[in-house]
Amino acid sequence: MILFLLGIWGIFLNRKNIIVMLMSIELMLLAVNLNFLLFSVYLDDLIGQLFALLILTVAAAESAIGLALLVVYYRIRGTIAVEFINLLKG
Amino acid sequence: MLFLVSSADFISLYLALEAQSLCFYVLAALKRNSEFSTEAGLKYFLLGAFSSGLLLFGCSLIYGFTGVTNFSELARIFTGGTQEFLVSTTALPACELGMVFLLVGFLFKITAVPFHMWSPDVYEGAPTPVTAFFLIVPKAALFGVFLRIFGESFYDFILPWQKILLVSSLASMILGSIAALSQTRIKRLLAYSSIGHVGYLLAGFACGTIEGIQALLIYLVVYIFMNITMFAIILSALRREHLQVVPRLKYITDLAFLAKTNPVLALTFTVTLFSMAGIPPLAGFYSKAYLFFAALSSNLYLVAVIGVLCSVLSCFYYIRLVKIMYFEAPKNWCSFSRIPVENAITLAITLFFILFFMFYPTPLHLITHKIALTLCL
Repeated sequence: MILFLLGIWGIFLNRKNIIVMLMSIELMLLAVNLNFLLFSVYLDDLIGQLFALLILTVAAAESAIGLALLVVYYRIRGTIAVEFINLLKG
Repeated sequence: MLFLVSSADFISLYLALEAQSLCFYVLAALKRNSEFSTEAGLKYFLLGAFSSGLLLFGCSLIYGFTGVTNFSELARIFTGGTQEFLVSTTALPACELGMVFLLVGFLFKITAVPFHMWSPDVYEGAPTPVTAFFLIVPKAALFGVFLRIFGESFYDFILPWQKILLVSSLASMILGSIAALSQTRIKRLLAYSSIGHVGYLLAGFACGTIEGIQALLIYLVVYIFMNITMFAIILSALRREHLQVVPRLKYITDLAFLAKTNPVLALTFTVTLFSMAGIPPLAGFYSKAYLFFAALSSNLYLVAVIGVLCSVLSCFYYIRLVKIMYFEAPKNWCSFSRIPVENAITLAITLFFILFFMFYPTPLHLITHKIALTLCL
Protein backbone atom coordinates (compact mmCIF):
# COMPACT_ATOMS: atom_id res chain seq x y z
CA MET A 1 0.00 0.00 0.00
CA ILE A 2 2.92 2.29 0.68
CA LEU A 3 4.19 1.36 -2.74
CA PHE A 4 0.90 2.45 -4.17
CA LEU A 5 1.06 5.81 -2.48
CA LEU A 6 4.64 6.19 -3.63
CA GLY A 7 3.51 5.59 -7.16
CA ILE A 8 0.79 8.22 -6.95
CA TRP A 9 3.18 10.66 -5.38
CA GLY A 10 5.68 9.98 -8.12
CA ILE A 11 3.18 10.94 -10.79
CA PHE A 12 2.41 14.24 -9.18
CA LEU A 13 5.89 15.25 -8.19
CA ASN A 14 7.26 14.65 -11.63
CA ARG A 15 8.67 17.72 -13.32
CA LYS A 16 10.95 16.32 -15.87
CA ASN A 17 10.11 13.21 -17.68
CA ILE A 18 7.19 11.30 -19.00
CA ILE A 19 9.07 8.05 -18.63
CA VAL A 20 9.07 8.65 -14.90
CA MET A 21 5.30 8.99 -15.08
CA LEU A 22 4.99 5.73 -16.91
CA MET A 23 7.20 4.05 -14.36
CA SER A 24 5.08 5.41 -11.55
CA ILE A 25 1.95 4.02 -13.14
CA GLU A 26 3.60 0.65 -13.47
CA LEU A 27 4.65 0.91 -9.84
CA MET A 28 1.07 1.54 -8.84
CA LEU A 29 -0.18 -1.47 -10.71
CA LEU A 30 2.54 -3.63 -9.24
CA ALA A 31 1.69 -2.46 -5.75
CA VAL A 32 -1.92 -3.43 -6.31
CA ASN A 33 -0.71 -6.81 -7.49
CA LEU A 34 1.26 -7.27 -4.33
CA ASN A 35 -1.77 -6.30 -2.31
CA PHE A 36 -3.81 -8.95 -4.03
CA LEU A 37 -1.23 -11.62 -3.49
CA LEU A 38 -0.88 -10.82 0.17
CA PHE A 39 -4.61 -10.89 0.69
CA SER A 40 -4.96 -14.15 -1.10
CA VAL A 41 -2.27 -15.78 0.98
CA TYR A 42 -3.94 -14.50 4.12
CA LEU A 43 -7.39 -15.65 3.08
CA ASP A 44 -6.13 -18.94 1.66
CA ASP A 45 -8.08 -18.29 -1.50
CA LEU A 46 -6.87 -18.88 -5.04
CA ILE A 47 -8.84 -16.15 -6.76
CA GLY A 48 -6.48 -13.44 -5.58
CA GLN A 49 -3.52 -15.11 -7.20
CA LEU A 50 -5.43 -15.67 -10.39
CA PHE A 51 -6.44 -12.06 -10.51
CA ALA A 52 -2.89 -10.95 -9.81
CA LEU A 53 -1.63 -13.01 -12.73
CA LEU A 54 -4.18 -11.49 -15.07
CA ILE A 55 -3.42 -7.98 -13.85
CA LEU A 56 0.23 -8.58 -14.55
CA THR A 57 -0.57 -9.54 -18.12
CA VAL A 58 -2.72 -6.49 -18.67
CA ALA A 59 -0.16 -4.19 -17.10
CA ALA A 60 2.46 -5.49 -19.48
CA ALA A 61 0.24 -4.84 -22.49
CA GLU A 62 -0.60 -1.41 -21.20
CA SER A 63 3.00 -0.40 -20.69
CA ALA A 64 3.75 -1.59 -24.20
CA ILE A 65 1.07 0.67 -25.61
CA GLY A 66 2.19 3.52 -23.38
CA LEU A 67 5.72 3.27 -24.65
CA ALA A 68 4.51 3.10 -28.24
CA LEU A 69 2.51 6.26 -27.69
CA LEU A 70 5.56 7.89 -26.16
CA VAL A 71 7.65 6.98 -29.19
CA VAL A 72 5.10 8.46 -31.57
CA TYR A 73 4.93 11.59 -29.48
CA TYR A 74 8.71 11.91 -29.38
CA ARG A 75 8.94 11.55 -33.12
CA ILE A 76 6.72 14.59 -33.54
CA ARG A 77 7.83 16.77 -30.68
CA GLY A 78 11.43 15.84 -30.15
CA THR A 79 11.24 16.18 -26.40
CA ILE A 80 9.66 14.36 -23.52
CA ALA A 81 9.85 17.01 -20.86
CA VAL A 82 6.59 17.46 -19.07
CA GLU A 83 6.36 21.21 -19.43
CA PHE A 84 6.16 21.08 -23.20
CA ILE A 85 2.89 19.17 -23.17
CA ASN A 86 0.80 22.27 -23.31
CA LEU A 87 -0.33 22.49 -26.89
CA LEU A 88 -3.92 21.88 -26.02
CA LYS A 89 -4.19 24.39 -23.21
CA GLY A 90 -7.35 26.22 -22.33
CA MET B 1 -17.51 -2.92 -24.34
CA LEU B 2 -20.21 -5.56 -24.42
CA PHE B 3 -17.95 -7.68 -22.27
CA LEU B 4 -17.71 -4.78 -19.92
CA VAL B 5 -21.41 -4.34 -19.42
CA SER B 6 -22.07 -8.03 -18.94
CA SER B 7 -19.27 -8.63 -16.47
CA ALA B 8 -20.28 -10.15 -13.15
CA ASP B 9 -17.00 -10.13 -11.36
CA PHE B 10 -14.23 -7.68 -10.66
CA ILE B 11 -11.78 -9.74 -12.66
CA SER B 12 -13.80 -9.64 -15.85
CA LEU B 13 -14.64 -6.00 -15.18
CA TYR B 14 -11.01 -5.03 -15.03
CA LEU B 15 -9.99 -7.11 -18.03
CA ALA B 16 -12.79 -5.81 -20.21
CA LEU B 17 -12.19 -2.25 -19.06
CA GLU B 18 -8.51 -2.41 -19.83
CA ALA B 19 -9.07 -4.06 -23.19
CA GLN B 20 -11.50 -1.34 -24.14
CA SER B 21 -9.29 1.44 -22.78
CA LEU B 22 -6.19 0.23 -24.55
CA CYS B 23 -8.02 0.47 -27.85
CA PHE B 24 -9.15 3.95 -26.97
CA TYR B 25 -5.65 5.14 -26.13
CA VAL B 26 -4.46 4.07 -29.53
CA LEU B 27 -7.49 5.56 -31.26
CA ALA B 28 -6.89 8.93 -29.67
CA ALA B 29 -3.43 9.11 -31.22
CA LEU B 30 -4.56 7.89 -34.60
CA LYS B 31 -3.21 10.72 -36.70
CA ARG B 32 0.47 10.05 -36.30
CA ASN B 33 1.69 13.20 -37.93
CA SER B 34 -0.41 15.61 -35.97
CA GLU B 35 0.99 17.05 -32.78
CA PHE B 36 -2.44 17.50 -31.28
CA SER B 37 -3.42 13.94 -31.80
CA THR B 38 -0.33 12.36 -30.31
CA GLU B 39 -0.44 14.66 -27.35
CA ALA B 40 -4.08 13.82 -26.81
CA GLY B 41 -3.26 10.12 -26.99
CA LEU B 42 -0.48 10.46 -24.44
CA LYS B 43 -2.62 12.45 -22.05
CA TYR B 44 -5.48 10.03 -22.37
CA PHE B 45 -3.15 7.14 -21.74
CA LEU B 46 -1.77 8.65 -18.56
CA LEU B 47 -5.20 9.54 -17.29
CA GLY B 48 -6.69 6.18 -18.15
CA ALA B 49 -3.86 4.13 -16.71
CA PHE B 50 -3.91 6.13 -13.51
CA SER B 51 -7.65 5.69 -13.10
CA SER B 52 -7.41 1.98 -13.80
CA GLY B 53 -4.78 1.75 -11.11
CA LEU B 54 -7.09 3.44 -8.62
CA LEU B 55 -10.00 1.24 -9.59
CA LEU B 56 -7.89 -1.84 -9.17
CA PHE B 57 -6.72 -0.72 -5.76
CA GLY B 58 -10.35 -0.46 -4.74
CA CYS B 59 -11.01 -3.95 -6.05
CA SER B 60 -8.06 -5.32 -4.13
CA LEU B 61 -9.19 -3.76 -0.87
CA ILE B 62 -12.67 -5.15 -1.27
CA TYR B 63 -11.30 -8.55 -2.14
CA GLY B 64 -8.97 -8.46 0.79
CA PHE B 65 -11.61 -7.74 3.34
CA THR B 66 -14.43 -9.84 2.01
CA GLY B 67 -12.71 -12.62 0.13
CA VAL B 68 -14.91 -12.57 -2.97
CA THR B 69 -14.85 -10.66 -6.21
CA ASN B 70 -18.18 -11.68 -7.65
CA PHE B 71 -20.87 -9.00 -7.66
CA SER B 72 -23.78 -11.12 -6.54
CA GLU B 73 -21.78 -12.73 -3.79
CA LEU B 74 -20.72 -9.31 -2.64
CA ALA B 75 -24.37 -8.36 -2.60
CA ARG B 76 -25.13 -11.35 -0.44
CA ILE B 77 -22.31 -10.56 1.93
CA PHE B 78 -23.14 -6.94 2.38
CA THR B 79 -26.79 -7.48 2.98
CA GLY B 80 -25.91 -10.10 5.56
CA GLY B 81 -27.85 -12.86 3.85
CA THR B 82 -25.55 -15.82 4.17
CA GLN B 83 -24.48 -17.34 7.43
CA GLU B 84 -20.95 -18.26 6.51
CA PHE B 85 -19.67 -14.91 5.52
CA LEU B 86 -20.69 -12.14 7.80
CA VAL B 87 -18.34 -9.25 7.42
CA SER B 88 -16.86 -8.36 10.75
CA THR B 89 -17.38 -4.81 11.84
CA THR B 90 -13.72 -3.99 11.74
CA ALA B 91 -13.66 -4.75 8.04
CA LEU B 92 -16.46 -2.45 7.03
CA PRO B 93 -14.49 0.82 6.89
CA ALA B 94 -11.92 -0.86 4.69
CA CYS B 95 -14.65 -2.02 2.36
CA GLU B 96 -15.98 1.49 2.24
CA LEU B 97 -12.52 2.76 1.41
CA GLY B 98 -12.24 0.23 -1.37
CA MET B 99 -15.61 1.31 -2.66
CA VAL B 100 -14.52 4.94 -2.61
CA PHE B 101 -11.44 4.11 -4.67
CA LEU B 102 -13.61 2.19 -7.10
CA LEU B 103 -15.94 5.14 -7.39
CA VAL B 104 -13.06 7.54 -7.93
CA GLY B 105 -11.66 5.39 -10.71
CA PHE B 106 -15.09 5.32 -12.29
CA LEU B 107 -15.48 9.09 -12.05
CA PHE B 108 -12.12 9.56 -13.73
CA LYS B 109 -13.20 7.50 -16.67
CA ILE B 110 -16.56 9.22 -16.95
CA THR B 111 -14.79 12.61 -16.87
CA ALA B 112 -16.82 13.88 -13.96
CA VAL B 113 -15.66 16.95 -12.23
CA PRO B 114 -12.96 16.70 -9.69
CA PHE B 115 -11.22 14.39 -12.13
CA HIS B 116 -11.93 15.82 -15.53
CA MET B 117 -8.61 17.59 -15.95
CA TRP B 118 -7.35 16.34 -19.22
CA SER B 119 -10.52 15.32 -20.91
CA PRO B 120 -11.22 18.54 -22.85
CA ASP B 121 -7.66 18.38 -24.15
CA VAL B 122 -8.10 14.78 -25.18
CA TYR B 123 -11.43 15.42 -26.86
CA GLU B 124 -10.07 18.34 -28.75
CA GLY B 125 -6.86 16.75 -29.92
CA ALA B 126 -8.23 13.46 -31.09
CA PRO B 127 -9.47 13.21 -34.66
CA THR B 128 -13.14 14.19 -34.84
CA PRO B 129 -14.77 10.81 -35.56
CA VAL B 130 -12.74 9.39 -32.68
CA THR B 131 -13.94 12.17 -30.40
CA ALA B 132 -17.50 11.29 -31.31
CA PHE B 133 -16.78 7.72 -30.34
CA PHE B 134 -15.17 8.81 -27.07
CA LEU B 135 -18.00 11.00 -26.02
CA ILE B 136 -20.56 8.29 -26.39
CA VAL B 137 -19.17 4.81 -25.92
CA PRO B 138 -17.07 4.78 -22.73
CA LYS B 139 -19.67 6.72 -20.86
CA ALA B 140 -22.53 4.45 -21.83
CA ALA B 141 -20.56 1.27 -21.14
CA LEU B 142 -19.18 2.46 -17.84
CA PHE B 143 -22.52 3.72 -16.63
CA GLY B 144 -24.00 0.35 -17.48
CA VAL B 145 -21.49 -1.62 -15.52
CA PHE B 146 -21.30 0.70 -12.57
CA LEU B 147 -25.06 0.83 -12.27
CA ARG B 148 -24.86 -2.90 -11.83
CA ILE B 149 -22.10 -2.75 -9.26
CA PHE B 150 -23.55 0.00 -7.17
CA GLY B 151 -27.15 -1.02 -7.56
CA GLU B 152 -26.48 -4.62 -6.72
CA SER B 153 -23.50 -5.05 -4.48
CA PHE B 154 -22.96 -1.77 -2.75
CA TYR B 155 -26.49 -0.63 -2.26
CA ASP B 156 -26.25 -0.91 1.50
CA PHE B 157 -23.41 1.51 1.59
CA ILE B 158 -25.48 4.07 -0.20
CA LEU B 159 -24.82 6.90 2.22
CA PRO B 160 -21.12 7.41 1.46
CA TRP B 161 -21.32 6.93 -2.23
CA GLN B 162 -24.45 8.95 -2.63
CA LYS B 163 -22.71 11.89 -1.02
CA ILE B 164 -19.67 11.55 -3.25
CA LEU B 165 -21.82 11.25 -6.33
CA LEU B 166 -23.92 14.24 -5.34
CA VAL B 167 -20.90 16.45 -4.85
CA SER B 168 -19.39 15.30 -8.09
CA SER B 169 -22.59 15.78 -10.02
CA LEU B 170 -23.18 19.28 -8.66
CA ALA B 171 -19.63 20.27 -9.45
CA SER B 172 -19.86 18.75 -12.92
CA MET B 173 -23.04 20.60 -13.74
CA ILE B 174 -21.67 23.90 -12.53
CA LEU B 175 -18.29 23.54 -14.16
CA GLY B 176 -19.72 22.17 -17.37
CA SER B 177 -21.89 25.21 -17.85
CA ILE B 178 -19.47 27.86 -16.66
CA ALA B 179 -16.32 26.67 -18.36
CA ALA B 180 -18.01 26.27 -21.69
CA LEU B 181 -18.96 29.91 -21.78
CA SER B 182 -15.53 31.05 -22.82
CA GLN B 183 -14.65 28.43 -25.38
CA THR B 184 -14.01 29.33 -28.97
CA ARG B 185 -13.42 25.90 -30.40
CA ILE B 186 -16.23 23.56 -31.15
CA LYS B 187 -14.80 20.32 -29.88
CA ARG B 188 -13.76 21.86 -26.61
CA LEU B 189 -17.20 23.32 -26.22
CA LEU B 190 -18.71 19.92 -26.76
CA ALA B 191 -16.28 18.40 -24.28
CA TYR B 192 -17.32 20.82 -21.56
CA SER B 193 -20.97 20.42 -22.40
CA SER B 194 -20.58 16.68 -22.11
CA ILE B 195 -19.06 17.20 -18.66
CA GLY B 196 -22.24 19.06 -17.80
CA HIS B 197 -24.37 16.23 -19.15
CA VAL B 198 -22.39 13.76 -17.09
CA GLY B 199 -23.26 15.89 -14.09
CA TYR B 200 -26.93 15.38 -14.81
CA LEU B 201 -26.42 11.66 -15.31
CA LEU B 202 -24.63 11.35 -11.99
CA ALA B 203 -27.49 13.17 -10.30
CA GLY B 204 -29.83 10.49 -11.59
CA PHE B 205 -27.44 7.83 -10.38
CA ALA B 206 -27.21 9.40 -6.93
CA CYS B 207 -30.95 9.14 -6.40
CA GLY B 208 -30.72 5.47 -5.67
CA THR B 209 -34.33 4.82 -6.60
CA ILE B 210 -35.77 3.02 -9.57
CA GLU B 211 -36.98 6.29 -11.03
CA GLY B 212 -33.47 7.67 -10.73
CA ILE B 213 -31.97 4.81 -12.67
CA GLN B 214 -34.72 4.99 -15.25
CA ALA B 215 -34.18 8.72 -15.65
CA LEU B 216 -30.48 8.10 -16.04
CA LEU B 217 -31.05 5.55 -18.78
CA ILE B 218 -33.49 7.75 -20.69
CA TYR B 219 -31.08 10.65 -20.44
CA LEU B 220 -28.25 8.43 -21.63
CA VAL B 221 -30.14 7.32 -24.70
CA VAL B 222 -31.17 10.86 -25.59
CA TYR B 223 -27.62 12.04 -24.95
CA ILE B 224 -26.30 9.41 -27.35
CA PHE B 225 -28.70 10.51 -30.05
CA MET B 226 -27.93 14.18 -29.57
CA ASN B 227 -24.23 13.60 -29.74
CA ILE B 228 -24.51 11.48 -32.86
CA THR B 229 -26.41 14.32 -34.47
CA MET B 230 -23.90 16.93 -33.37
CA PHE B 231 -20.98 15.03 -34.68
CA ALA B 232 -22.68 14.13 -37.91
CA ILE B 233 -23.16 17.83 -38.48
CA ILE B 234 -19.62 18.75 -37.51
CA LEU B 235 -18.15 16.04 -39.65
CA SER B 236 -20.22 16.94 -42.63
CA ALA B 237 -19.42 20.61 -42.81
CA LEU B 238 -17.13 20.47 -45.77
CA ARG B 239 -15.46 23.60 -46.85
CA ARG B 240 -14.19 24.51 -50.20
CA GLU B 241 -10.70 25.92 -49.92
CA HIS B 242 -8.36 26.49 -52.78
CA LEU B 243 -10.34 24.33 -55.16
CA GLN B 244 -10.36 21.45 -52.69
CA VAL B 245 -13.16 20.14 -50.57
CA VAL B 246 -11.79 19.92 -47.05
CA PRO B 247 -13.66 18.69 -43.97
CA ARG B 248 -12.65 21.08 -41.26
CA LEU B 249 -14.60 22.84 -38.59
CA LYS B 250 -12.50 23.96 -35.69
CA TYR B 251 -13.56 27.31 -34.35
CA ILE B 252 -17.06 28.39 -33.51
CA THR B 253 -16.82 31.27 -35.91
CA ASP B 254 -16.25 28.83 -38.73
CA LEU B 255 -19.92 28.11 -38.51
CA ALA B 256 -20.78 31.66 -39.39
CA PHE B 257 -23.50 32.27 -41.90
CA LEU B 258 -24.38 28.66 -42.27
CA ALA B 259 -27.95 29.78 -42.59
CA LYS B 260 -27.36 31.15 -46.02
CA THR B 261 -24.99 28.58 -47.42
CA ASN B 262 -26.75 25.46 -46.20
CA PRO B 263 -30.06 26.30 -44.57
CA VAL B 264 -31.18 22.74 -43.90
CA LEU B 265 -27.96 21.95 -42.08
CA ALA B 266 -28.33 25.11 -40.07
CA LEU B 267 -31.86 24.17 -39.13
CA THR B 268 -30.78 20.71 -38.05
CA PHE B 269 -28.00 22.14 -35.99
CA THR B 270 -30.38 24.58 -34.37
CA VAL B 271 -32.80 21.85 -33.39
CA THR B 272 -30.01 19.75 -31.95
CA LEU B 273 -28.64 22.63 -29.94
CA PHE B 274 -32.05 23.43 -28.58
CA SER B 275 -32.44 19.83 -27.58
CA MET B 276 -29.12 19.86 -25.78
CA ALA B 277 -30.13 23.01 -23.97
CA GLY B 278 -33.37 21.41 -22.89
CA ILE B 279 -35.96 23.48 -24.66
CA PRO B 280 -39.51 22.14 -24.57
CA PRO B 281 -40.89 20.14 -27.29
CA LEU B 282 -37.63 18.32 -27.90
CA ALA B 283 -36.14 15.15 -26.51
CA GLY B 284 -33.55 16.88 -24.34
CA PHE B 285 -36.23 18.65 -22.38
CA TYR B 286 -38.15 15.48 -21.69
CA SER B 287 -35.13 13.61 -20.42
CA LYS B 288 -33.99 16.50 -18.24
CA ALA B 289 -37.47 17.02 -16.84
CA TYR B 290 -37.77 13.35 -15.97
CA LEU B 291 -34.39 13.46 -14.31
CA PHE B 292 -35.35 16.43 -12.19
CA PHE B 293 -38.63 14.81 -11.21
CA ALA B 294 -36.73 11.73 -10.10
CA ALA B 295 -34.31 13.86 -8.11
CA LEU B 296 -37.12 15.74 -6.43
CA SER B 297 -38.95 12.58 -5.54
CA SER B 298 -35.93 11.31 -3.64
CA ASN B 299 -35.52 14.56 -1.76
CA LEU B 300 -32.48 15.86 -3.60
CA TYR B 301 -33.79 19.38 -3.82
CA LEU B 302 -30.46 21.14 -4.13
CA VAL B 303 -29.50 19.03 -7.10
CA ALA B 304 -32.71 19.82 -8.93
CA VAL B 305 -32.44 23.54 -8.30
CA ILE B 306 -28.82 23.79 -9.31
CA GLY B 307 -29.51 21.54 -12.27
CA VAL B 308 -32.14 23.89 -13.55
CA LEU B 309 -29.90 26.91 -13.05
CA CYS B 310 -27.01 25.28 -14.87
CA SER B 311 -29.35 24.30 -17.63
CA VAL B 312 -30.21 27.93 -18.07
CA LEU B 313 -26.54 28.85 -18.13
CA SER B 314 -25.78 26.26 -20.72
CA CYS B 315 -28.60 27.60 -22.87
CA PHE B 316 -26.45 30.64 -23.36
CA TYR B 317 -23.61 29.02 -25.14
CA TYR B 318 -25.80 26.75 -27.19
CA ILE B 319 -27.86 29.66 -28.40
CA ARG B 320 -24.71 31.61 -29.08
CA LEU B 321 -23.88 29.00 -31.71
CA VAL B 322 -27.29 29.57 -33.25
CA LYS B 323 -26.67 33.28 -33.28
CA ILE B 324 -23.34 32.83 -34.99
CA MET B 325 -24.91 30.66 -37.60
CA TYR B 326 -27.73 32.97 -38.41
CA PHE B 327 -26.62 36.47 -37.70
CA GLU B 328 -22.91 36.86 -38.07
CA ALA B 329 -20.99 37.67 -41.17
CA PRO B 330 -17.80 35.63 -41.26
CA LYS B 331 -14.38 37.22 -41.48
CA ASN B 332 -13.20 34.91 -44.20
CA TRP B 333 -15.83 33.74 -46.56
CA CYS B 334 -15.61 30.01 -47.06
CA SER B 335 -18.31 28.23 -48.91
CA PHE B 336 -19.69 24.95 -47.74
CA SER B 337 -20.31 22.21 -50.22
CA ARG B 338 -22.95 19.54 -50.07
CA ILE B 339 -22.79 17.09 -47.20
CA PRO B 340 -22.12 13.42 -47.91
CA VAL B 341 -25.09 11.06 -48.18
CA GLU B 342 -24.29 8.89 -45.17
CA ASN B 343 -24.21 11.89 -42.92
CA ALA B 344 -27.48 13.07 -44.34
CA ILE B 345 -29.23 9.81 -43.57
CA THR B 346 -27.81 9.66 -40.04
CA LEU B 347 -28.86 13.21 -39.44
CA ALA B 348 -32.34 12.50 -40.69
CA ILE B 349 -32.85 9.54 -38.40
CA THR B 350 -31.52 11.16 -35.27
CA LEU B 351 -33.26 14.43 -35.95
CA PHE B 352 -36.51 12.56 -36.35
CA PHE B 353 -35.94 10.96 -32.97
CA ILE B 354 -35.13 14.26 -31.30
CA LEU B 355 -38.12 16.05 -32.72
CA PHE B 356 -40.76 13.46 -32.11
CA PHE B 357 -39.61 11.77 -28.96
CA MET B 358 -41.83 14.03 -26.93
CA PHE B 359 -44.96 12.74 -28.58
CA TYR B 360 -44.26 9.07 -28.23
CA PRO B 361 -41.83 8.34 -25.43
CA THR B 362 -43.57 5.16 -24.35
CA PRO B 363 -41.32 2.48 -25.87
CA LEU B 364 -38.16 3.95 -24.44
CA HIS B 365 -39.91 4.55 -21.15
CA LEU B 366 -41.03 0.95 -20.86
CA ILE B 367 -37.68 -0.47 -21.85
CA THR B 368 -35.76 1.62 -19.38
CA HIS B 369 -38.25 0.83 -16.64
CA LYS B 370 -37.72 -2.85 -17.22
CA ILE B 371 -33.95 -2.37 -17.21
CA ALA B 372 -34.07 -0.39 -14.01
CA LEU B 373 -36.20 -3.05 -12.35
CA THR B 374 -33.89 -5.86 -13.34
CA LEU B 375 -30.93 -3.89 -12.09
CA CYS B 376 -32.45 -3.41 -8.71
CA LEU B 377 -33.93 -6.82 -8.10
